Amino acid sequence: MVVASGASGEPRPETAPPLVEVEHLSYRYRRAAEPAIRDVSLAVHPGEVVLVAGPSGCGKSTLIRAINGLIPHAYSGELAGAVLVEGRLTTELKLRDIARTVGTVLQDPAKQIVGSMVESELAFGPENFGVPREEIAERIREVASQAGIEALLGRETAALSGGERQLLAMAAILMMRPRLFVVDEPLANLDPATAERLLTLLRALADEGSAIVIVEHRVEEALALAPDRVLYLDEGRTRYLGSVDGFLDVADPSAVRLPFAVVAKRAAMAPAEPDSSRGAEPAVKGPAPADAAPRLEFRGVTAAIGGTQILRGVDARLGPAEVVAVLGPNGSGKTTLFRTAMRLLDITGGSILVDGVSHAGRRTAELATEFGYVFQSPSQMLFARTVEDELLFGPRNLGRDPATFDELVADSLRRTALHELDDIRSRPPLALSFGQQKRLALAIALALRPETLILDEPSAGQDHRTAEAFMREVLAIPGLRSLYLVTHDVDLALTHADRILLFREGRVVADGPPKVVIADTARWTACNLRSTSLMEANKAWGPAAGPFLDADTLARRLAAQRPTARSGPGREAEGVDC
Amino acid sequence: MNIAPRYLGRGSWLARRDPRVLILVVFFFIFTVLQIWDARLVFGLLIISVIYYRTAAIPWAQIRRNWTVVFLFIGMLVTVNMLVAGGNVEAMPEGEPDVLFYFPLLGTPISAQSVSLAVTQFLRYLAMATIGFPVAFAIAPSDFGVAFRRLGVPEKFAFGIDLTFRFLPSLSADFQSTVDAQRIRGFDWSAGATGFLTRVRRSTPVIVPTVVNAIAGAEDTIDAMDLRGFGTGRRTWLRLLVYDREDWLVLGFFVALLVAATLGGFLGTSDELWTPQFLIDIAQG
Repeated sequence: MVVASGASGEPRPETAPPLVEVEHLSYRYRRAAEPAIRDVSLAVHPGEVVLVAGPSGCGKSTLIRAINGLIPHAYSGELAGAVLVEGRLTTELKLRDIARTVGTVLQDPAKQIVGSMVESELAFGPENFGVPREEIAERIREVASQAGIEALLGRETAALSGGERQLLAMAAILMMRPRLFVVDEPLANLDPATAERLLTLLRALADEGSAIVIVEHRVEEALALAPDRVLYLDEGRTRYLGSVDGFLDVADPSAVRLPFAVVAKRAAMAPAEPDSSRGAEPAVKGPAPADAAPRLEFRGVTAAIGGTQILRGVDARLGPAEVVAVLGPNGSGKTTLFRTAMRLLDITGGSILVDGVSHAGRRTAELATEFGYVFQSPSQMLFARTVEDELLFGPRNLGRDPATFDELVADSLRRTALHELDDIRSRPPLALSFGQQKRLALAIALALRPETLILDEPSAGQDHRTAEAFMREVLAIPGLRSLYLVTHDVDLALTHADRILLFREGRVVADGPPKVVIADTARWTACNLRSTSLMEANKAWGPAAGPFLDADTLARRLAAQRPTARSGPGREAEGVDC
Repeated sequence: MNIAPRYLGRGSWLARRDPRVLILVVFFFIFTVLQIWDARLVFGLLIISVIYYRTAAIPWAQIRRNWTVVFLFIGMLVTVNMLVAGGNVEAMPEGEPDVLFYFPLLGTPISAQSVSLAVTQFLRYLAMATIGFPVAFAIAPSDFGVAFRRLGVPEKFAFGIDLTFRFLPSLSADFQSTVDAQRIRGFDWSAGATGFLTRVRRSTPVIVPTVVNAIAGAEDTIDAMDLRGFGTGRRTWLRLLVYDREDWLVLGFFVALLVAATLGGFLGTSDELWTPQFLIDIAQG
């Protein structure tokens, strides 16, 4: 562990007493073999912003539960060490009393929001504390103004966008007037404008004397909050606790997403190594010639959901041997596009062609033998008792020859590297880890032997490291000729796709190689997409055609090309000096 | 599939009433109808229910399918009752029925009285459905919890009603995603499903993921509620419900109907089946 200053990385011992003190905390969940966190210490003072960073499974969620009192009040397990809220042990406080000091915004606002109207959601916390009705109404007015959500008042929560829900979830916690805000991955599904509003709000709260603990593995974006300290966790242990600068010196760029300047600085100072970060040789070989017949073609396609027009005349040609990423804001029609291609949703106009033939007379299951469709969440499809039964569900439904099943299962497991797990065929799918379930979902799609994969939000629920590894594994699947993906993750799309389809309001507003599509900054911003430091670096120094380089590869390349950079371009590399 | 509650009567005269009025009216009206077997009086109640329903201003185009289901369900219920049981209930007048004909195959006697009973039942169910629709479509989704709480339902149960309305759309979306995910794997749950148990067994690929996801999601929601102090003490309800003059008038009217029906039952003027003379004449040739 690296501690920047003091025993708990305390930057300013002379300030007010801490709101929360975590002292040598270790915790093991009742059914777990290993502790989720071990010997973690942290103190948070009024006015302070602490960023907690680390990859999936690093113990962030457990730390949050210990701070807000869910551990030990709602979860059972073995707890060692202590957590004090305003000087009192959480084990001796009621959850209700802890909630008066610690307000928690959960990762998924859809699960946190319990009111069907915006006002009822805002009122929920104060109602539970028995706050008088008039005061609740007054707080609603104040908080709506503070959070900038006046326009949402009177609306049903089910009709809000993802960003609006995140702001509402934050506002609902503001209503309880806690002194410490614990915010779990708030930037996960926010467009740049909403993210900026939320970060501004959090910063203002800290400046007014509240304390903020923000958990986020998108470090680059969270740094906009100007955190006072960073707690960097990995495998349940504290790897670093101290200033941001010190954290940027020790953080693993493959585990958390760091600004490109930091990665470049590291590469410049590291000994030269061969450029191998792209991993295995991709099976999808790159864009087909421009005159190649499209694998999937949309001609003036329109589609509606529940009376709302989603696709408004889409024209697009997706090739038989390329990686295409579809980017755009929520509700712009990205997922709907492929749902129409799979006939999960009927089109209201235009036509869709598969290998030059209209798909109008074909069934969804038939199309799945051409395009393996992998949903965002693997748990949406897993139901069987064993992995083998799960894999054979599709082939059985399609009447495939049972004599081929054994080889089919073996092949699907091998192509997704699941065969490396002991007794994988007989394991219950629901007992696999999230990452293993993602690979199983891939194997299920591959069991129908498609040449093309369609991935819906492949990085959802995964940290930087696992998302990148997943994409590399997908691209290396033998026999796969093309890959189409829908994503919010700009860096993931730009570093893996040969071509970008940019969507806005149900139309394709740009179609071309990454470098061409991002060239129009105004259009990019209008599509609610953020400009990342990796994107800017690729714009300046990346390849002219094809996918952008990932941060590590680009940084190494720059370091190799410009030996003088070894003297340390540092954080200035965010500009053009690198 | 959209199973989200639809607040279609928003802004109407009935939607502006205290939500407790809409719930209480249903109870008063059902107990009124249950005491009346005279089709002429039931028809009068149906007219009252239609007038009441019209004040909710629920757009017909958006509710046509719901009404179709109601008509089909009531029609089937009444027809089956008439064909299988011959409409044999307590309200039937004593004595031999005036048989019109015997139903082929089943041999059930179709009499003037059983036809009258079927018509009366149809009108009764229809009146009850008509009075009940505004509860589903003219109460704001966020008002259900507080309305039931103020009617004496325990606090946690009342809030549970609010939560149900809140999470129905999410559950519906998750269900649809699972159906789509399984359709891609060649799943068609209507194919080959003949009986109820077969249908349930064939639904496993959809039911298991939906339930597992719902339980996982519910854990987060429970955490979120715990962290905001739910269920740990007496709570305030932001929504203040106060009956106004029009609410009292509506309630008074339906209470008066109930009292009148109860008195009519005691006096024996409304609880007997009425059979039109022309049906008896036809039966008697």
